[in-house]
Amino acid sequence: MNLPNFLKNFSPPSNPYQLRAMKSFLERGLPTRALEHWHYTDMRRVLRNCTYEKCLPTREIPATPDRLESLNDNRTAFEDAIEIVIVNGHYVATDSNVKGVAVRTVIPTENIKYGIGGLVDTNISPMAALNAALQEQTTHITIDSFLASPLHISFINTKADTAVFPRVFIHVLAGARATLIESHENADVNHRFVHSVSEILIEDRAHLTHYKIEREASVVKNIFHTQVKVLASGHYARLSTFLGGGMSRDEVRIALDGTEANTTVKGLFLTRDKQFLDNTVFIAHNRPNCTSKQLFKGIVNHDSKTHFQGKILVDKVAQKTDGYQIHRAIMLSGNCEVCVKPELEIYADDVKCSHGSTAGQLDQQQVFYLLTRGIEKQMAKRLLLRAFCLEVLSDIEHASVKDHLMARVSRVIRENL
Amino acid sequence: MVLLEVKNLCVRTDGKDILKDFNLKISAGEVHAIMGPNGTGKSTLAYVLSGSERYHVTAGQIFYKNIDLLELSVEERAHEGIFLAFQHPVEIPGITISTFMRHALNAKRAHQKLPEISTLGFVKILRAKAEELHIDADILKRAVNVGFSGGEKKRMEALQMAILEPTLAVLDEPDSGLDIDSIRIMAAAVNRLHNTDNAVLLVTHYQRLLEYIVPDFVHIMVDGSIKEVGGYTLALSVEKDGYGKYV
Repeated sequence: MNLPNFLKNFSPPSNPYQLRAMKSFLERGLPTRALEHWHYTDMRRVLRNCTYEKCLPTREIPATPDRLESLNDNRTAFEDAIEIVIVNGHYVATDSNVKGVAVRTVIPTENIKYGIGGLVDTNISPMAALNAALQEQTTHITIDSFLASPLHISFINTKADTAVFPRVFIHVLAGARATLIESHENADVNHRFVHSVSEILIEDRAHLTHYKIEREASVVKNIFHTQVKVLASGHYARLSTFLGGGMSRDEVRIALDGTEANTTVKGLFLTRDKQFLDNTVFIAHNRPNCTSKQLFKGIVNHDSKTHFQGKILVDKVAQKTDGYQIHRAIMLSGNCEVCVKPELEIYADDVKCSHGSTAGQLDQQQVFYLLTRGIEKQMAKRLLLRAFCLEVLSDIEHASVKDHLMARVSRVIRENL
Repeated sequence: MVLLEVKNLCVRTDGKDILKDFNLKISAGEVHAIMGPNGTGKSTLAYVLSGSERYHVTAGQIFYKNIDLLELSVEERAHEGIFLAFQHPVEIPGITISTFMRHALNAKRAHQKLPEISTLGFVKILRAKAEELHIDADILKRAVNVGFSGGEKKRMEALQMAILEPTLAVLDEPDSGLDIDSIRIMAAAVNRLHNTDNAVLLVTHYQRLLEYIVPDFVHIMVDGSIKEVGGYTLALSVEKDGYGKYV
């Protein structure tokens, strides 16, 4: 079995489960823009001329001082959190005995037994098949009650020029409730390809609030795939912040599979230099009386490119669907690019669905108003950009997360202007 | 002391001449009112004084405190004490009045080489000024002008003026869309601010506001220039007879 060129230093999988997954991936190959939901990202181009080594587990973290400082920031900000650390795709046991949370490591040959891979359709997501073929373990987390402290999964990668395939499965049992913080941040500035898959199963009446913080070095290529299944009266709230990274794609697929399930998906991105970001959201309303709301906002600068495609699919049985999507971007340079592709595909007749999108410069009347009050131009712009971001961050319930993100966003705005 | 001198000013915007050979002289301690029909260039004058880039000065000069005002940026003019109360203040979601005004006051203080006022210290100043102007403290926590009624927006302009204590306050139709109580609050803010060291320039359609802020000079402006200058009684005669005879 010949692996694709960028993985030529990897050995092919040896067990039948992963061999099947690899075969499935190789049949389809790396996704290109020919696939509708890969409209903005051509993986063949992204990985052209790249080769990566396999990453072996380690706890050592080589650090440059400034990045180590920001990592420590994270730790302090979330000191009340239950820490789960995943280094180079491997779960490092920390607080696994916390009440209400069970964490176990599952090896690929046991994936089926634990339902891992069960939420992802590899026909639609060929990259997820690649992850299944090359992953070494899945961090499987079960939440069975109300968690007063947030759960913080910290993804840390330490090896240069490696490809890493982390995978997590989060199972929120009926009636349970939790806050999850997922951070992707490294102490080094090395080249790397990270392809992570998260599967999240939210059972009846369970609630999961999920904050994702991405602040990778500018040479890192990140492909994130999150698959969520929400059952009756379940709730999934997601807020992703993209404050770094070189090339990132975040694909979120949510199936509202129970009546009165609902979800909110928010994103905030601040891109600069030659960053590339692709946010792809797919929400399937498969049962009646479900609601979904999407709010994406971003500040795009220099030569960076951001893309958003958000699709709402309403099944014919999904009457009384309420779906809403809005995307707003501020463009700070003449060379940046913002592409937005909203899609509605509706088969039921009693639904409410809408979408909207704006992109442009800062409102010059607002800038002028601040200037007439003596506020310096740079400060005026910073205040307005911060205010623009606030809409996404304002209703974060968890104070430490909100303060942390506000401070982070303010810092990036300061560095950006 | 002459505070502001506008000499033979000509201003263009969108390919149209708005101000034509406009002249005005304001000394410290004076209140001037500029009256005139719609579309005559009154608001343009206010914007040009504040430094808006939308308008192009094609001829003439403006001296303020003996400095060439046209050389100064919008924010530098504010630091030098020019304040424009907007006819239609913009809404700024996400910035509270308190944050906004603290930055404004500290920018001015930095220019004056005075120490920065802390958040807590500023809240005290803001509350005190709001109370003087009978403004409900709850509104101060809200985002600037967002969802405010016309009267509330104008009161916020008055509050900003009270905090920044300008040397030249330019009020662009401060009475438009206001009920009588709001006009009284606006007038009280102006009268409280006004002293022998500063000056007020009111732009208005109607004489009503001038019952509460009595001007030293009334200028009738038609078609981009001043047609007649007089005292308060000129405002009364215009109110009675209209602008017909100047057109």
